[in-house]
Formats: sequence, structure tokens, C-alpha cells
Amino acid sequence: MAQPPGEPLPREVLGRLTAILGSAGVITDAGSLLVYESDGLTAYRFRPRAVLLPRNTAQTAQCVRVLADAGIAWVARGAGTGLSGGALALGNAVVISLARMDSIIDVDAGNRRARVQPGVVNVELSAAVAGAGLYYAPDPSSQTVCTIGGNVAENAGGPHCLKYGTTTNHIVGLTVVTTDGNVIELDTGAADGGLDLVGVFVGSEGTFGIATEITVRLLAIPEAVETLLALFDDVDDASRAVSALIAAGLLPAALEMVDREAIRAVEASAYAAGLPTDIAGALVIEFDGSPAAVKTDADEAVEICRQGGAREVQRATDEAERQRLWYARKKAFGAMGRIAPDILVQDAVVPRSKLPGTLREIYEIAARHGLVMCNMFHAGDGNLHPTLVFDRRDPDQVRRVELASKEMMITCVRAGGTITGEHGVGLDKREYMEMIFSEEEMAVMCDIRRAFDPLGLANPAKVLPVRVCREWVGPATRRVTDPAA
Amino acid sequence: MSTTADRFAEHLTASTGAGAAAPPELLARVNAACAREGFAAVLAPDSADGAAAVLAICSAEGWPVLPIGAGTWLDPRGGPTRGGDVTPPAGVAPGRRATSTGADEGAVAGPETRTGDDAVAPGAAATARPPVLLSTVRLNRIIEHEPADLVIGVQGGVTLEQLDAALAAKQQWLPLDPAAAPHATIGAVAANASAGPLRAGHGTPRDMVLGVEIATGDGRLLRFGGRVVKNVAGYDGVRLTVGSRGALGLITALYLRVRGAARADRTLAVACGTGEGGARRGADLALALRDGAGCDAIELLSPAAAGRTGLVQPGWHVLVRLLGSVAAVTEAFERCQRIASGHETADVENDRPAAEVPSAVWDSLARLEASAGTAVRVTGPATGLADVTAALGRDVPTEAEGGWLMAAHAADGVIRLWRSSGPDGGPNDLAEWGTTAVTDGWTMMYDRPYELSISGRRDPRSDAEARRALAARLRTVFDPAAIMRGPWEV
Repeated sequence: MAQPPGEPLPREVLGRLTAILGSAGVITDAGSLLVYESDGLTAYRFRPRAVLLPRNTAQTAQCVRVLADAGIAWVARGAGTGLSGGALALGNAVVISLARMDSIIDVDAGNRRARVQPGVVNVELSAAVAGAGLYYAPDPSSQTVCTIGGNVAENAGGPHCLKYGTTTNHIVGLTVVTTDGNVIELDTGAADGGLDLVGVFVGSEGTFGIATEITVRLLAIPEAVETLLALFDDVDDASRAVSALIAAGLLPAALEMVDREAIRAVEASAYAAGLPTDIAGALVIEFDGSPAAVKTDADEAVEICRQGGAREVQRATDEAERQRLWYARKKAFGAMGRIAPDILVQDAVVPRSKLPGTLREIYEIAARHGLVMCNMFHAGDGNLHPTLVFDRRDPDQVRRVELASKEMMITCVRAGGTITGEHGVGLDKREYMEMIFSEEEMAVMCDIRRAFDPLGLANPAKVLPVRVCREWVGPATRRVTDPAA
Repeated sequence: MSTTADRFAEHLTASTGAGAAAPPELLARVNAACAREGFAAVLAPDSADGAAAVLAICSAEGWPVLPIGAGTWLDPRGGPTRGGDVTPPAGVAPGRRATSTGADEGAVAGPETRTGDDAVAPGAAATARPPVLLSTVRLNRIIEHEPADLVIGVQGGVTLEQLDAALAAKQQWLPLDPAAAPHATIGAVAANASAGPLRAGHGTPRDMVLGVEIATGDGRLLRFGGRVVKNVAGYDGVRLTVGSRGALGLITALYLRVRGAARADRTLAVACGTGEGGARRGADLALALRDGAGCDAIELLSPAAAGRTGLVQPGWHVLVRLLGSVAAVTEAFERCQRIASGHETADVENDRPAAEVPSAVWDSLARLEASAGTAVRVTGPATGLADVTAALGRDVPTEAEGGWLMAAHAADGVIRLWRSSGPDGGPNDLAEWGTTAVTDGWTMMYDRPYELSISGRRDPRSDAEARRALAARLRTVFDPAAIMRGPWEV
């Protein structure tokens, strides 16, 4: 779905912004704006009215103030890798790109803190502090390109958040440009008590303001790592093994699952890892910590998997082999392109104990709609990523994908889960919010949003269903109209 | 002759029925702690809907409400009796928030000295009505516990000992050890975001609560988060609620992330010597242990605190707790011993006697701190721990009988000072300590009594008003009539 470009910025506004950022910091030509009309949710395109490229907090605040004065909506954008449409410029918004704010301001190794601008790439932060024996734990799959600011906006997760938590567990302070163009400092404070303004800001998907400086918590690089790959002939056995590992008191650093379709796609690609393509599923299990702890836990995990029906458990003996064992999981998305030109990735979460039954149901849903589906997901968290492959040039496929996706979401919510574990609500799951929140709860969230953004200009029409906040309604608002839904 | 408060109490009780009557033991606890004129009624609803109904009535009729959990934190010298009035007890100087400059930036005043443009204190904003004390003691049910999910759902009035027992029966535990009585409620612990030494390895309640149900200040029942360990749907009302200290309403239920029970639990105590040198050695050792071994808890104890927890050697002590598999704990224990003996720090002249002690020492420490009548918290970057601890050790009478006890969550830079008696008598002026002890990036404030913890939270930063206004707008979302009372920043 594409929205035609809206009206250009008023000349007076454009003039003020150019005075702040210089001509190189303001993009208005149609060709350049094309780059910003989509993000990781590629089915949608919304061309922004302009793109602004501030370099620091002061410039960002001045820009927001200009836009607030003119009543112009805006959306902050990191690397544009988000999968829920969070960076799409709905409402004829202006994009405020934080790409030029990519400095690591300070590293305080003694106190295990770093202060960064939002445009710092996730993996580059870890690289920058590795010399001090530290790293930044949240590791979304897009970490080689996604930015810390985007991670904050979405409360990003990743494979290792099973043990280390998500982004919100690693943010201790923020400099925030508020929606009226002022600047406030938020910090968790060691006093612990009091409203956690940092905590409520993280994951607010760009609707509360812009974090222009972020203080993160760093962890010591684990001394030892052991990685296992357990191969199963039955998906049920694999998902039951997940529960068995957790119930045994083990806490892997990562516990991922990939199914047959994903493995086949990887083995047919340049990323082939030599895995058998007749298995039903595989678990990637990783432990980190002290050498003794890691060995003990890995030994126990091997035994649990074998008792749980694993055909084979491979154990990495060096870093190269560890990378190979991860290929099936990390390269699966990229390998999907061999199957079809488009994918839709869902992001539902269910309690671990419900994994076997939920997986069976979503496979049935995909089959019933005649769709090819792969599963590669964070099994330890119960965070499913059913991935439907299709060709968006075929309207019937698109219709069936949307129906199947909604059915899968209903299945996961009925199992006691939620609609998004790490990708965010954005535009993509806005209408699913009523599956898990009452009208009253959504109204309260709207009020919380208004407390931060009384003008309603920050990333409009995201997170909450449009009717809840009486916000902008436009052609991008689409609903599945299947009577059975 | 019945007072206005008495009449309202009768009206409230009649409206909410027997389901909200306070049990005798709670009444006894309240009466022992509070003067009768200090509260309008004590209610303990037996359902979340009942709690919401109480709040709806109070909101509609403008009666303040103070959530009290199980009443274990009621100040025996009259904490909630003043209906939000924050007049400090006689003889106590107003608290001050010392800043990095060491200067008295923005002196914190009690309400009698606040200027007209100061933020409004709860007591001044409210009417003179005494609060309704709202307890969760009858919200004491385990809602659900699926061990395979490592998640437990409980009502807000479930006590810590009740929770521990339920989890232990399934070989699980919640790695949270706040300085609270065993019959304190998990709802109150979450409301205060209270954490103990295990925060070093496992975080605070903000890292453990997955979902909350809250009866808001205007009587709505809302749920945020859920039963799953990853959840980014909507705005994080869980993080907003945990640590809100009752400002938004009453926590009626929570879902908590738990862990498998550790198979080994060992504690190492290292005596670091006396005086300022002992304090510095202890602080330095604590950070060396943080960096060299995966410790679940690292505490620095003053000589008085160490003695009171049963440690026999004189002087400052570092306590380390190690939890996990037998092999992992054995390896970590040996590593800690090596660090303590100076081998790995190449500080061979600094031989520090280290001995394993029963892990019950942690319970002793928690009980000791839970009994505090007055508590002060000094927080800052952990790398400054040695300087600040040494200065406090020098200036605060920690050694004398009846003096202050001190302990620090060393890895997080959180120093606590406490005494069982009230702030009356003896050195109690935060400014006196602050100007000598507080260095760059450290702050100091009262935790208890609650009155002083309010007055002690003045924020001198230039954007304080914007932050305060934001917090006020958020509170209004949940409590439009501003009836909730408690020790939060105004």
C-alpha cells in the first residue's frame, strides 16, 4: 500500500529548518524522499514531506519546536529496520532521521556505562567497548544495522534476551527531546522508587519524544560460551525439550528453534551449514558464564535433549563451529528469498508450556490457507516468528496471508500470550491491540501518550487503534474483512 | 460525638460491605503504630473489585487513601498518622539533597519553610482529612503457577514468605531479598521497587514483574503486561506502576518471572580491617570481586553492621553470595577466595582473612535493616564507593551503641545507613553528612520515615520542573482526584 506524497512544507517552516540544519540537513526532493518511504514493513509506503538530519540534541529540539509551532507531525527514524512500520511517515509527517547522531559520547568502564547518540549501530557499540571486556547485551537479529535509538523505541529483544533481558533492562538514562521541543533528562536513579519515566519511555515507539542521548548498562563479556545444536525428527519433541530445559532450572543465554522449511531454505542457500534436511526441527542452545558453569549446564542440556527424542546433539568445539551451528537460525530470514519474493513475519509470544500446542495450530492454519510457512524463533521466551512466504503481486496470496496471520495471532492470544514480543505494535499490529487490552486500558494508554505528547504530533497513528485516540484516519487503515475473523 | 472521619468510615464500610473489613491482626498493627486521629478507616478488601470500589468512593468524595500493604512499614513513631502532613518530627532538621558540587543546591525544606513557588507537598494539596488506610492482606491468593513457564501469578497481598513457600515447593524461587518483614506483601515490595543484595546478580522488581493489575486512584481496574516473559504490546504500564509507591493506585495482582532454585548457595565473608583503611579496602575488594567473579550479591558492611549480623571478626566486611550449580559455585567460590587473598590482584601484602559463613547471614542482614526506623540512602557510581564509604565511616557514628549501621550494594553504588530509632537525637542533618561525604555524582536522601523521604527528594536540576510536571500529568491519568498518598516525589 502506497500513499501519494503530501503537500510540501510551508516555505516559512522550510526556511527555519534550513537555518537550523543547513541545506544538507533538509531533504525535500522527491527522489531522495523515496528512500524514506518504507521501513522493514515493506508492504507499506508513505512518502514523508521532508527528511531532517540533525546532528545533536540542540538541533533536534529546535527542529521539533519548529514543527510543533507549525502543527506538523513528525516521526523519528533510526536505521529503518523496524518490522512493524514504526518509522513510516503517516499523517504526512516529516521524518527526523537520527542517522547523523552516531557518536559514542562516553564510555565509563569502571561503572559499566556508556552514553551514546541514538544513531549508534547496536553491534558497533559492543565492538567499541570490547577492549574494556564489556559488551551491550540486547542483540536483535538486525544488530549489524539497527541503531540504539531504534532499539530504545521498540524495546528490542534478540536471541540472548532470554538470559539478559530486553533493551529496557539495559537503559539507565535518557536525554529526551519532548514533543514541544524542550529537553529533559530521565534516569532510573539508584533510589529505585518513583515513577520510572525511563521505563515507560522505552518501547514507546517514538510517540513520547526523541531520545537524543542514551546511557546504557554494559555487561562483562562472558568468560566461556558453549553452543549446542539439537536435531529433532518431531517438532513436538523439540518444543517439549524447550520446556524441559527451563523446568530443569537451566537458564541458557539463548534457546532458539528453527523448523524444516527454514533449514531447507538455508541448506539450499550460500549459507548452507551441512544440516540434514529431513529433520523436523532444531534447537540452538547456548550457555555462557564461567567455564565450570557452562560445561555443567551444557552437559545437562545434552542429556535432556537426548531423553527428549533428539536424533543428534552437535556441540561446538571452537568459534568457527559455533558460528556454523548458528547459521540455521541467523541466516534463515535471508534465505527466504529463495522461496518467494515477500515474507510476513509475525511476532507473537505464548507461555513456553503452550508452545507444542500453539505450534501445531499455526502449522494447521498455514496449511488450511495453502501457504508456505517457516518457523525460526526465540523458543526460550515463547516468542514465535511464524514467517509466511508469498508474492505480493498476487492479491489472493496477500488476502490469504492476512487472514492466516490474524488467525495465528488469535491462537497465540488465546494461549495466554501477547501480540508482540519485540517487533512493536507500530502500524502493523495496531488493530490487534483490542485482542489483549480493554477499551478502558487503551484509553488510559492514550492518556499516557497525551501526557507526553499533548499536541499529538509525534509519530501519529501508531501503537493504538485510530478510533481510540480519535486520531488521523487515512487510506493506510486496513482491516481484514473475512466474516470468519 | 462522631467526627467527619468516623462518619465517612461508616459510609465507606456500609458501601463496600463486610468484604472490606480489616482483619483483627491488621487493626492491631495499625493501632500500635498510629494515633487514632491519624486515619479515617482501615479497609482490607477481599477482591480487586472491592479495592476498586473503595477507591472509586474515596475519589468521588475526596478522601485521601494510603496503601499500606500488610502494614509492616507503618512508621512506629507516627508515619501515616498525619494524613499526608510532612512536618518532620520535632528536633529533626530538614533534609537536604547534597549534589556533586557538595554545595547546598536547592535546600530541601520541610513544609514549614517551603516558599510559594515550591512544588506542593501532599499534605498541603490535600484537605486536612486523615487518609483511609487500604490494605491488601486479604488479597492473598496464588492465582496461577506453571513451573514450566517460570512465571507465577499472585494477588498483591501475598506475603514474601507465602510466595517463597509456593515457589520452593516446585524447586523455584524469586531472586529478590528486600529488607522487609517476611509477612510484607509482594505488592508493596513491587510498589516500592525494593531490592536487596541480590540485585547485583538478578536486578530489581522492575526486572521481575511481567504483568500488573492495578486498582487506580479513581477506582478502575487495569491490567498491563501479561504472563509472558517478552511483551512490547502498548506502553509499559508495568514499569510505570512498579516503584510508583502507591501514587497510581493499589497493586492488586502481579505476574512475576522466577528462577529455578539454585543447587548450591555459598557465602564468603572477608574481613577488611577497621577505620577508614578498612572501608577503602572493602570497597576496592568489592569492585574487584564484581569484575573477577560472577557474584549474585556483593555487600560491604560497616563494623557495627557486621557485628550485628553475627560476623565475629572486627572491622569492615565484604559479603559475597554465590548461587548456581555445584560446579559453578565451587569454581566461583575459589576464585573469590583468590581475589580476597590478593593473589589475583597482585596485592600480596594485603592479606584479607576470608571465611565461609552460613547463608543465613543474609536473612540476618535483611531483618536488621527491616527494623530500621530511620533509613538514609546514598547513591552514586560504584567507582566512587571507596571515597564515599570512607567519608561516611569517618563522619557518621557507626561504632557507638545506638549509632548508625551501614551497608552497601557495592556493585550498584547504593549505600544504606539506618538505625532502629527515630531521627530524633544524635547527628541527623543530612547536610552535615552530605557536604563531607558526597562526591561527584552521588546523592543522599532519606528513605524512612516517609515524611522525610518526601522532603528529601527535591531535585535541584534545571529541568526538574519539567520532569515533575510530566510525572504529575501521568499521576493524573490514574488518580485524577489526587487522593493517593505516599512517599513519592511531588
